[in-house]
Amino acid sequence: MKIAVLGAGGLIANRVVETVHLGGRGDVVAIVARENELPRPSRFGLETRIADMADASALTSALTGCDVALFAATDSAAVVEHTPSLVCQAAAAARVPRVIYVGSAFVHGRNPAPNTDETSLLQASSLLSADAAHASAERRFFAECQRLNLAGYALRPGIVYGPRSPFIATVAEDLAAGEAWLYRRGLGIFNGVYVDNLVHAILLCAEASNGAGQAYLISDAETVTWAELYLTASLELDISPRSLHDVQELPEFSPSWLDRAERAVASPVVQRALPLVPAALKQRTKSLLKAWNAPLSTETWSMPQPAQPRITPELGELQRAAWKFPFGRAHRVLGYLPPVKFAEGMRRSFAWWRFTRGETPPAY
Amino acid sequence: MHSHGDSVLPLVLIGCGAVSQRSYLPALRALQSAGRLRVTALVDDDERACHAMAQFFPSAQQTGTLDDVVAPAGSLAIVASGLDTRSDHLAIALARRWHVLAEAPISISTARAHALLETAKTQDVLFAVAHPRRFFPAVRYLRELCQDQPLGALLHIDMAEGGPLPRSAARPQAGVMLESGIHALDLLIWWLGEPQQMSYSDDAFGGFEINARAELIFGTDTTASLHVTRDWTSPQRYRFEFERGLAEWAVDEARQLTLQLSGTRAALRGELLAPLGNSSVRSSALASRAQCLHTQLAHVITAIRGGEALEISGEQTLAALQWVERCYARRRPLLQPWLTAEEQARLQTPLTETFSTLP
Repeated sequence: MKIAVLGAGGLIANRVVETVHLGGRGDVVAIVARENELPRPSRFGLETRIADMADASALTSALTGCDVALFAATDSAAVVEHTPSLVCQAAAAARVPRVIYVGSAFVHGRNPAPNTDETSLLQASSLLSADAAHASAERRFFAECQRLNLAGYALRPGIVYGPRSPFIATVAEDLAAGEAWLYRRGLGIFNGVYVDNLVHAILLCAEASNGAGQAYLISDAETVTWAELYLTASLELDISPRSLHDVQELPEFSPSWLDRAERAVASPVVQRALPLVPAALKQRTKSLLKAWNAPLSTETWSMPQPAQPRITPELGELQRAAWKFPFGRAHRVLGYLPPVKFAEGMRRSFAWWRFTRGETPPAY
Repeated sequence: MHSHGDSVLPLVLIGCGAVSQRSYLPALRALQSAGRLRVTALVDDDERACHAMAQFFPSAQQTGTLDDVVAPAGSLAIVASGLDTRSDHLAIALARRWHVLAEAPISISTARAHALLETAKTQDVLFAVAHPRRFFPAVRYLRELCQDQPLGALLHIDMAEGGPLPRSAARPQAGVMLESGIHALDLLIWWLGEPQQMSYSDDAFGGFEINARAELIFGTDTTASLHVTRDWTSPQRYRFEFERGLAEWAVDEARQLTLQLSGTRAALRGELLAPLGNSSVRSSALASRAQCLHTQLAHVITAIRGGEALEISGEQTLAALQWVERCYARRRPLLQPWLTAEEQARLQTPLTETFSTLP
């Protein structure tokens, strides 16, 4: 099997590269959009190719000779919505018969209704904008696969955690800063999936003899609460779990003018116009916005406040979840069973985090 | 050595990319305005990079190849090209009897570096190496702390540096230890002399490493740990443990340090000033990063004219390259406990020798 991994420096794609190459599961072609993304795949002396997803000709050329193309959605809503079509068209032109798209389980919302599964309706109006973009992207993906006669598989993981995961970094930093929190004692469901479990599902799709044209929710085996997640993290980091704030009511979140500005910038129209804006002007605007958003200086009459919980709309919604995404369809059709247990996934995640802080012995 | 006396020094800039734009451009403009140099040629096979610099030096020749450059012997060439072409560019520049100021490392091998330095001697031209951090007041202050020991003997340095490449960065031409770690090694050697022992590990597996760890021993009592990375944003700081205090330096801060004296209840973070003197005169801040880059270039020009001895010659920086070569020759696989047992087994190679002493 020769698998083209787009965005090969990213969290999920990098782990696919490592797993396939080190495990001798096939040949990998690591594709990145820019040269600065080459370092991670370049550890292995693999074939690397550079192709921006917006450049159809380069993408087609990069995919040529491969049996499978894999790409994972990024966070930018504008990019997420249009990428699947571009990748499918390039795959068809390059005669790559199978495409795997890693989207998001949060197309069902971050606080899914009970009994949600792959067949549940996707209510875009009730979704955060990033999640609505994922829902739209997945629809486009399957439409293009059908039109172009490609075997398309879409995976819907929840929060992907593991080594190099921004989520683990945030948990660690919030705990260290005393800003970590639990909603109503953390009894909500943590809808996460350890990255190796997701990679296992990806490789099942790459090798499956059936099951194309469907989406699959992917999760860990265990039902884990947010309290269990943070307790495990606290133990790994040797931080007292008593530092966790217990939040009974979540604040009302209304988008700030900055949020609205960011969404406007993410729109396709603005994204197309951005290359025409001089780099210096973009830089000055970013600096201005950054300074504008800076916290006000502390009133000198006030005593220093203890650390406050850092609550974001996304995390607030996630912690309210009362339903664990199932993986029944993935099990029935693909034979998916998560190979890595939650405890082991957390151990490896924080082993990586400690390494980044210089706390690991260097060599074997 | 060729000297231009008081005449304006012709300058050839080889490599007009991010390093030149970020580090050399302000100093070049200032020194050209002051009449100390004149940028006569901009060399880069990337036309956009050339044009970007040409805005500031409109009368300079723009070309993609060194062969086309018109510059007399005794000119100064700044060689800031990529590692894949740097030593070739240096060889051509030296053959043209230009003095050179080269980005480090000057070559990927000490053999080639030696050959270049020999050529410079034969051609009777200056070979300077750019290590701007050595001009930072904070770095010089740390050297005094290490060598003069006002806080007692140095016990340990912990160095964590690096992060993902910026969006504009070109493809890496070597691993992180050669491209970035060499600067940290240069500072260590400048502060403490060459190490007595060193062990090294990285995560390369047929390609270029993105994480490199080195453990060093200096003399009998001083150890250092170095971690350079292109993988994840590091703490970007060097932490010094002395017998009677701690010092911390944020990487690339020119004049800021944090100090904590043993037995005191607080650390002090501040900006380095000129030494306190007459109480009625306020001490001024020492040089900023931009000023240090200017000083580095101005110093090389003065050295070319014979006005002062060159501070950072090619010979003086060879030790760091030699140690990087030793690292690569005797590397061990980096411990990566987040991988599966099978993957870790695949990455391990048996230890065939104990690397513990200088050759």
